[in-house]
Amino acid sequence: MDINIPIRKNCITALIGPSGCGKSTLIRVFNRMCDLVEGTKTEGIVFFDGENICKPNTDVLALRKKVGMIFQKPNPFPMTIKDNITYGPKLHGVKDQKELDEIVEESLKKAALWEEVKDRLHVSALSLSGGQQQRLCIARALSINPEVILMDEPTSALDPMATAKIEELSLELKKNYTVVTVTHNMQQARRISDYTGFMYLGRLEEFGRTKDIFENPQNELTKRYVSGIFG
Amino acid sequence: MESKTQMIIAVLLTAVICIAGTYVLINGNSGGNNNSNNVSIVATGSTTVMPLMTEFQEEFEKHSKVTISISGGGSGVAAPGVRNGSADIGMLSRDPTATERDLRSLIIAKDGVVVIVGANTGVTNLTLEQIAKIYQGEYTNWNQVGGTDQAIRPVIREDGSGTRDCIDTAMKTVAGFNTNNYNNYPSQSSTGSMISSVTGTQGSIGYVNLGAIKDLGSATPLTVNGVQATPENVINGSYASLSRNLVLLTGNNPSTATQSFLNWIMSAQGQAIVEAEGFVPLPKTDRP
Amino acid sequence: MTPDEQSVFKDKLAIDQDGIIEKGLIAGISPRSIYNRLKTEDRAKLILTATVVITVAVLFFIILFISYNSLDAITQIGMWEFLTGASWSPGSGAYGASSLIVGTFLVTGGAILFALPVGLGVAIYINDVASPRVKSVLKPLCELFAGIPSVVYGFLGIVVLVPLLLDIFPNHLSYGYSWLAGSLVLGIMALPTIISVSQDSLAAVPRSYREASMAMGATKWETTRKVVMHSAVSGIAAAAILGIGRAIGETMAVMMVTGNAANFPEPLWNIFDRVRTLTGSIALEMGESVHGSLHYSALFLLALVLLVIVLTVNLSARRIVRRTKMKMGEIAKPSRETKIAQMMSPITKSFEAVSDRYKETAVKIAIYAFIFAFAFMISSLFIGTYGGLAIGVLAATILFISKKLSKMLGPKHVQKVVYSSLGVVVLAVVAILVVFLAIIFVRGMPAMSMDFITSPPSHSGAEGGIWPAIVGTLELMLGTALIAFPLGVCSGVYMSQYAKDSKFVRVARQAIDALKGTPSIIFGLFGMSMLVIMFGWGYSLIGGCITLALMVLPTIIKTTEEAVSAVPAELSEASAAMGASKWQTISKVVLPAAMGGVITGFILSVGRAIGETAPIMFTAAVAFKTTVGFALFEPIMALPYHLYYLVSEVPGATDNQYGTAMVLMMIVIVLFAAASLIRRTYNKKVGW
Repeated sequence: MDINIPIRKNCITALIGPSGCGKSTLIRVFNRMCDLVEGTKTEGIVFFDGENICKPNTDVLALRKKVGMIFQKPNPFPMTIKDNITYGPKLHGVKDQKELDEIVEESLKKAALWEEVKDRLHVSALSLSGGQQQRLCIARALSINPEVILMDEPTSALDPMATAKIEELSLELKKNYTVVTVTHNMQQARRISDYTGFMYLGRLEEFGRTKDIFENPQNELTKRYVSGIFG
Repeated sequence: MESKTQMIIAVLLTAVICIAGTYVLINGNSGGNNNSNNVSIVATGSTTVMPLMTEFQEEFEKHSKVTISISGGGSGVAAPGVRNGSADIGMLSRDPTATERDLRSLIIAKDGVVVIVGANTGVTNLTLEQIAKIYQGEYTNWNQVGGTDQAIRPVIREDGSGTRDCIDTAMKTVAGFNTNNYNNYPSQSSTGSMISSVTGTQGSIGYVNLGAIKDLGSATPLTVNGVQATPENVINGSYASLSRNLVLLTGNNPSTATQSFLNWIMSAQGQAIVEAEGFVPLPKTDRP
Repeated sequence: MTPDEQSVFKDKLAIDQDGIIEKGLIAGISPRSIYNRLKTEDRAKLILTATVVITVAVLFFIILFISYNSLDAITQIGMWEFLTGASWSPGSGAYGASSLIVGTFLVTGGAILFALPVGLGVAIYINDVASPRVKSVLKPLCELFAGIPSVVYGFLGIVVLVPLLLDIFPNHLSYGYSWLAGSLVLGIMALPTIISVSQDSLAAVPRSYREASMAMGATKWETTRKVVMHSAVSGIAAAAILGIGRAIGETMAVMMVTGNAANFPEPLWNIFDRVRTLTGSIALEMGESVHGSLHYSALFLLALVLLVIVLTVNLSARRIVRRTKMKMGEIAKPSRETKIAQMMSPITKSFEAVSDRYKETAVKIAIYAFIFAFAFMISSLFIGTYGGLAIGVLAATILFISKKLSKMLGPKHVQKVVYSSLGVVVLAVVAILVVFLAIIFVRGMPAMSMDFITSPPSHSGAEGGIWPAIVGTLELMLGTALIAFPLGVCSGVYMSQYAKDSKFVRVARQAIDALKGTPSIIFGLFGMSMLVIMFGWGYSLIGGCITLALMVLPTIIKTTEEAVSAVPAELSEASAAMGASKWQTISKVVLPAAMGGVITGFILSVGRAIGETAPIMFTAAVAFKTTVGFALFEPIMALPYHLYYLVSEVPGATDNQYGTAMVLMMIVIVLFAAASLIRRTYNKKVGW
């Protein structure tokens, strides 16, 4: 990996590139989810709030509280909708029922799901549709009030309607959060992101404003990729 | 093919296979079983007689080509086993009951029931009355019968055991004896497990047959009413209340192999084994 | 097909043809022509279907025979009297089974109380902490644990556990044989089932759940406790209930250590008291009861009660698993809602909301109440009621403090504490197994000699060897395999390849599951009443083989079904795409590919079968038979029964007891090693 990338606050940064180029691996470094794979080695420095989060003594749990993550396939827990959302706050010590209720409502509203599920908070989360499940996962990530939200191809398992909703939601979210999204859908990156990084074979080939990357790429590879000649 | 027809055919097929197979097997077998030249003998019944029987078998098989299989189970299975043909010889550690008289019975030895106690009782003799009161739960500490201050822990044999039958019958001659407390005592299914239970338990009391006296380990045999359980005392009648007969049952038409085995048991050679095993051989006059 | 298999196959066809001819003659049509007109396809399907029909028939016959034989007891004693009567004393005509039923539940409950937390702990350790290498040691060990025969557990219980308990509680245990000893032995026996089933269900929880939880800053342990265990709860419940099912039906080990006193413990939680179980009573008294007597019939009625209990437990297990899955949304709820349910729905919804709010508090209260009650019951046995109350309060307080303490420690340290204590638990369990094996092998060694292996027993088994028992066990193994293999594999293939969602298949599935949970002693009674008495075979080798074969049949069907279903669909699609018929695909592609799994499962089940005592003690095994030969209709000696006989009848013969146990264990270990070798080579070869 040979990467140097700035992530700007309250912006959406998109990472694009062909399959196997290391986008997902990179994004998993940002909240040290890469640790879960056995035998992982990390080199280099990732600064977040003035700290190098790749140091061995980093408090990974606290880091993950601040850097939330949304996965490729919606993965709500097989619990009720409400339990899914209160899971995080309870984990981090919130006990008061009233406060929990407020968090549930607030998070679901932020994830634009409140209206659809407010009458069935005690229903299993697995009974929701795929798009709803993904928004529930977003609400779940928001429940612990992170600063950054990492999205690992959040719409690849969804139909176009649900995808549009998630995209709309991302734009809404960047007002309060910093969003990093990985996508292999170039058009999606173009639609929603402020900055785009193009990766190829573990290298960050080009990084810049989305508009520049798509309309005026400097790198030959980037040019060929965004114009669809390869990939 | 329609799946329904197929199902029906399958069911019929299976039924036919089962019935035909069973028919062949039963016919094939009963042919073999009624064969009077059968060189295989099966003996079943009392676990008291069983060790004796294995000694007979071992010695007898040296002289003849007969194969003998022996299984325990208790006196209760002897007659049913002989009747339904699963056994040629039934072993009883008591006299045949009225319902068992239709079979041929042969007394092969006499036996006495030995009362044994575990460690720490401080007792070497009990009267029959004391034993009965212990088993009905009236005496619960050895100091009530002149022993140490130690709880009495009775052990019994299972329902249907000839040994238990013998001692229960004797205890019933004591006025007021009942077995209401038996459900509180551990029940052992054989002579061997009775011994291990008594030796492993402080202050326990149990009973075994005369032949087991050599295997008692740390358990102590008691004298009852001052009389020691020995072959001599069984023969001379001073231990009569706790003695009994060991009996073999056969069908009314035993195979030649079975008959020759029985004859051998009653011979001097067979009776010598009875004596060696600690049981009481029949007096010469009683032998056929 | 190899030439061998072909000839077996042809033989089967020949039998079936004869069958059809007989039937056909009765019906007046020419069946051979019909049969000849059938395509190979249909013939194959016919044969496979027939094997499934046989399996279903077995369950039917078992229920029929047990019920028929218990009729006398039902009419003469009365069902109500039988179930509620407190005194069991057949000699004096008292047939009250309530103490036996209670005893069964007490022993089982005690076992699960200790085996479930330990088993779950080990499963979590294997799933969360163990490295792949440790895993590859622990899993086969667990299988071996499950393979130790019941009678060997009972033997170890008598020679190790009972004296140990007597040393620990000299003032409270009067006989050593006790409910406590029974529960401990049973718990150890139930452990492997609980470990493997709950580990499977923990491992089946999707990785994505774990990731989602970890991404929110949960530790591994928090994730396991709150998400993984929550998702695996149906599997864990199944593990618990399967463990209970196995424990309720267990015979030999229980009978050997519980003391068999048919009374209620005093007080009811007095774990030092002696109890008697349903299985124990049957095994203990069946040999003594006169065939056809009321006592005999009452013992069958006990078996019927046992069967009903076990079937109910297993059935409710499936219900619970289904319901939790439905609640989790893993399977769809039935779409039709009844009118009543619709009308009730606002009520149930508000109830759900309320229950949700107070669920946690309720669970908390329940945990504290349980801890308090448990601590009270145990300690009151030692120090009286008031002391017990104090200890109960103390235990609850300790729980409270430790919870607070864990909060102060922080999740990372809690994880460390939890995982290291789980490590200790795993070590303890492994140590128990190693100690068991070591005791048997170290003390069995002195008995080992050429003479011991090759000569018959003498002096009631106190001297001499065990040659007839070894031969008898091997003969039993061979016979069982010959009967169970074709039936089990054919049924398994049918269930995985041909079974549709028809009524017949549903019934067959239920029957196979029911048979799988049926206690081994019930098979023994069935074999006895049908083969020994009705057919008049007496105790015979073939009777034992048939009984054991029926017992392992459902397991073989299940493992075959799993192995065949695990063959990737692409393979059979590839074959079908080349124009192969269904049967051609199955016989040429699917079965060869699945053979590794099929044979492994088969060997493991036969390994279990030859260690069984209860099914052969009333059908085949005798204590003495010094000659050796392959006579189908003669009784045999067998190692497990010989061990039981030596332990209960010949207390002095310690060397021979350990020697017999050692040889039995060696045969079992060889079978298990063979099974895992086959599995390994096949896994390498096919690689999915």
